[in-house]
Amino acid sequence: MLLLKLLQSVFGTLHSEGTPGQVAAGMALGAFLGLTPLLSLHNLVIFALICLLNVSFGGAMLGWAVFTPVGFLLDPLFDSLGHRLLLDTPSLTPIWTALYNAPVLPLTNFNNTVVLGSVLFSAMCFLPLFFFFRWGVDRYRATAGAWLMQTRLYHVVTASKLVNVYKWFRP
Amino acid sequence: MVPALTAPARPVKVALVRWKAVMPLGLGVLVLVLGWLLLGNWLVKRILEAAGTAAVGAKVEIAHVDVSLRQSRLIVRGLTVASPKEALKNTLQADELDADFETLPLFRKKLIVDRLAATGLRFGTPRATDGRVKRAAMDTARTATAAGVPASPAKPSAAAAAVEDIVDRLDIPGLDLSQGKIEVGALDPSRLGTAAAARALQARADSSSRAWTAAFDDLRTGPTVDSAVALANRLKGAKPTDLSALNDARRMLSLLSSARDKVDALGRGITAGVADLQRGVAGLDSAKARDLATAKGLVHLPALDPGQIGAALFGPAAAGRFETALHWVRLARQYTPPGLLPHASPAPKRVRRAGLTVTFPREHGLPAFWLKDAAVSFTLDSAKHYDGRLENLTTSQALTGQPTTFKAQAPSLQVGALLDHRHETALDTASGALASVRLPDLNLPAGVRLEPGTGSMSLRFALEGEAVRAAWEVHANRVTWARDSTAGRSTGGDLVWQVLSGVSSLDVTAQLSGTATSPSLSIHSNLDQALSDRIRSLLGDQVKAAEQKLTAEVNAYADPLIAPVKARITAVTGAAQQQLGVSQGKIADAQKQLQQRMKSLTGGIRLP
Repeated sequence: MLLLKLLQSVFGTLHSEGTPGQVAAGMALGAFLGLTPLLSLHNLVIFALICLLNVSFGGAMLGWAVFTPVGFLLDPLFDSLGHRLLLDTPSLTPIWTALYNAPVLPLTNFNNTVVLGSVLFSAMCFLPLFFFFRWGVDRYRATAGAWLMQTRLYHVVTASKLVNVYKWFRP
Repeated sequence: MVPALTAPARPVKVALVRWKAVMPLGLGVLVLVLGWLLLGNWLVKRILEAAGTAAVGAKVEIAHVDVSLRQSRLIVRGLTVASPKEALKNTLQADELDADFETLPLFRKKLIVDRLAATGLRFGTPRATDGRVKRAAMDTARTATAAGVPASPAKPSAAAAAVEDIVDRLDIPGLDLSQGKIEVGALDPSRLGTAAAARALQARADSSSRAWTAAFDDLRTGPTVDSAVALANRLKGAKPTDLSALNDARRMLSLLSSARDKVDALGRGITAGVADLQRGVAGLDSAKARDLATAKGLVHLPALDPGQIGAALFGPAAAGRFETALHWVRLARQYTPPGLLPHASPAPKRVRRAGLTVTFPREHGLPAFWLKDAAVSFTLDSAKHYDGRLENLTTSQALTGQPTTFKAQAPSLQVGALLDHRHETALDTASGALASVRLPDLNLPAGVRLEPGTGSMSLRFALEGEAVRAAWEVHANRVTWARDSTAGRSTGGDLVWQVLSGVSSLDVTAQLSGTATSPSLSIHSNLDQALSDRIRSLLGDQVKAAEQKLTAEVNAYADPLIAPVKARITAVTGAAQQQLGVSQGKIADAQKQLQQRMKSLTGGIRLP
């Protein structure tokens, strides 16, 4: 079921009316959600951006689904990165101290090694991912897209009504 | 259903904002608000339970939570904190905790409680299930207390580890009389020292023998003596006017005198060497005596020394109380580090890696947690109610500038505690004295249970840095004793029972000193001497037999090692002394012969 939903999401997104840029932006924001620990305040902001900005919602869900396991895999890297920034770089301590004592910001859990590491990593990867996804969607639509629409698999997968959920936030 | 794939042509202009999503998003926010109204109490309850469990290392359970952000009020009902050390015991239970907190600091992730009223606190209550939890997160935690100091993977500090096994670190003697017999351990030859001493002495004897032989060879007295004897014979036919012969005789006497001096010097060296070897032989006997003492140490005697009796009887109970005090003090130190340096601690467990959460306190800022004032109402002895006051419980005393204090005073109760973590060396003290209360029962060795009834008990505890000082005292005038029917009956157990059951008063003093990693426990009670005398009279014969057996084993092990060495030393010293005597005799004879010839040649006239 999960796999079916994922395939529906992939097809639905790639064959949506959204531009490659909208799809790519959605996927990059979804990747942000997947790479960082979900229950963090910053992800509320990301989710609001996904809803409010005219990006592909399906792309965001797809990016989230794909990058969540990647986030699990990269947690040791995030932990190490956050540890280095929070504890091993004394020159940054005044910044962290100011942020920690500011309103609201401590609620983002930025002072957690995994959260800080993953957020910074995701932020750094955002633009490269966006351009990569946009190029990928472009290439897909120009090459394999039309052929795939004729296949039986495509029709089976997209026949389910579940696929329509994504249309609520279709660009 | 799915739109047809369009050509690569893109819309000329795409709106940036999806205004139609505002409504669903608003609905989402509304759902969140409704969710908070419906499930907020449950959510806070779960958070408090999880955080409390992680902090204490034992299950924290809450029956009901009522939180009001509008009134800045939190009410917790039915709080149960399990004991982290004892399986079926609670550390405390509380009927209700009513707290007024400040709302604005919550936006800074800081919980500032202005007032707390805790009612219906009970300590040490039983529970149906094991409330201990594994603290894996703590064990693998990494800590760092200062920015700029590379944080390394943390192991529990030695002192922290000591908390978990202070009973093991204390040398508490056993008093297992359930079988009425003493136990004798196996004799391990590798732990005995006679063999090494014998080998060393053998080597010294061989070395001395070689040295003395070489010294005798170097003296070369034989040719000198032979020349002297030959000269004496030649002088038989000489005339008194043969000055050359007389001069030869005088030179030879001088040579003989010199040779004798050398032999005498060697003799003194041999005498010293022989004395040294004899001391070595005496050392062998000492090594055997030590081995015998080691072997006798294998006799697991019931504590016969009165001082040990007290430790054997009350050591585990006293150590348990000290360990509990040390546990809570250590926990307080963990969550209230001194100073204003960044402090890392393990984050709450989650599906993804938890990582470390680092706090960055700032001067004049607020601590992450601060309970300013708490009125505590608690129950002891199932019926008596007491009131106490807890002040300035916080995660950073450097920010509040005040130590944490607790005080409760009543005619039959005095409890006080001070946690001062404002300076580099933390000072934690606690003391409590109860009078005329029903004291808890104590399970003692040999299947005996002490029911002290009503009496007085006090506990004093201080941990300054890592230096610990503590005392536990129990006084009761009408104690009763019960015997565990499931424990095996034995002569020894019967003896202990006979002695203890005739005692109606109890006076125990236990003192802990040293450091948390190397504590020392001493215990005295009014039962010590009586029990010691009776145990000694009962088990004296068994002890004697066991010691005789071990002595025979040590003799069988040591004597075959010692005898050859002694024989070798006797042979070496005898040979050296004999050779010395022969040399000295030959030189003396030659001197005598030569002097007689000269005397007869000169007629007794001393020549110039």
